[in-house]
Amino acid sequence: MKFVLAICIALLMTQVAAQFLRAQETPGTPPQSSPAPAVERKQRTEDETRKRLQQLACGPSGVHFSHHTDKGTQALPEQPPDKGLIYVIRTKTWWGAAGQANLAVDGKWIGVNRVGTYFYMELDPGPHYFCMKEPMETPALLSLVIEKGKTYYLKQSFTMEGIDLDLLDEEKGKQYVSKYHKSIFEEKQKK
Amino acid sequence: MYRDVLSVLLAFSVGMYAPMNALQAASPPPQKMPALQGEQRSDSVPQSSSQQPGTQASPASSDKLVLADGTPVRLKFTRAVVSSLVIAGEKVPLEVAEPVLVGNLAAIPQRSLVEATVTMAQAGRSMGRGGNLELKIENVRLADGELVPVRALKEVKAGGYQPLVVAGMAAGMVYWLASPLTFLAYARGKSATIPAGAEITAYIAGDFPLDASKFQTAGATQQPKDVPK
Repeated sequence: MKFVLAICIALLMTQVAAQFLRAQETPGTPPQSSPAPAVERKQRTEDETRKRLQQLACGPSGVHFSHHTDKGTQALPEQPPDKGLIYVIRTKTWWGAAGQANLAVDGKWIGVNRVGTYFYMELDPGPHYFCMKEPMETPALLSLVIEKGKTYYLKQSFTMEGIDLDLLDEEKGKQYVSKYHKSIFEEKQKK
Repeated sequence: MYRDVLSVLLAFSVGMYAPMNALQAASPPPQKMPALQGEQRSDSVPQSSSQQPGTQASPASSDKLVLADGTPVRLKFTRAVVSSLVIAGEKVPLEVAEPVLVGNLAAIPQRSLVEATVTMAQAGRSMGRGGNLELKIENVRLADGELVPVRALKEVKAGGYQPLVVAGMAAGMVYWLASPLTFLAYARGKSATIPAGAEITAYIAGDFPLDASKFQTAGATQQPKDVPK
């Protein structure tokens, strides 16, 4: 009897938790607004925006990297005056530790990190679209306007729910780069 | 037996009820205009003036009219901006909330259109963490059609409810009867939102001499607010 009661309560909680999650996933609609100018384009939905960003950011499927970590002394690049310098850092978390975290920019796979590694790249000023992908997960997306002469730190993280790509502040980014190792990778050629 | 039921109900109320409240608190008020959720910042410290928005930008001398560096320009968003609905590089419309006067001339008329560029957009993230949104305004158009640069940056971070999600998950991992609470890990945070009507102050970047013959006096350029089109 006691066991049956416990099961019922557990089921009830599952149901309520599922309802809560469904409420979270409802596509967001913008709050009420004043009349918009006639020239304004039609607003996309959350799903359409995500799909559009995914098209812009993620690379084609079937691209794989071989990877190792450079544990030697690390010379960091100079900040180019006419470009943005972007560090991509994968923090140490036990969740998803076995997986590779690939990163694509503007529809092209650029590199890969394992736990506690980073790599860097230079980008022209202007809008850029970033996609982080792990084979089993929905991609994490971020769009950013890069300014020349500035350094950006992107953090790849794995959580119980999935993967995230965040923009770090400079201080935190520098801390990670100073204690992590550089990721060395190469795109695997198709046979 | 009763202890079991009691602990389940307790975990239930902490894990489920509280995030709902956090969610309601994070959503923008439907009607009140300028209240922005989360952290917000307007960059652009005025360098040379202590002028208040909507007041006159002082002419440099009695002969020459100058739109002075640091003159504030009050702007407002004509529609809501949500971080999950925009992509960096896209433009967002604003309008001038109050005319900028130089002497008695309207250098920037009220309701002139201005565009902000989305410089960073991130939807709500995993584990109940909120999204981020950053916009920049680079220039405004004077009444004579000329563009002048301004300094203005706005950052909005959506409030999250990560501690509650973590608490619910921890309860679920520690006690098997509360295990459904581990599903809270799948709750995504809210997107950062700027409600329609929210205001931001931009500051003129540099001194700009004005040709008085190209501008109208303030009264002539004021548009009545409720004129049917």
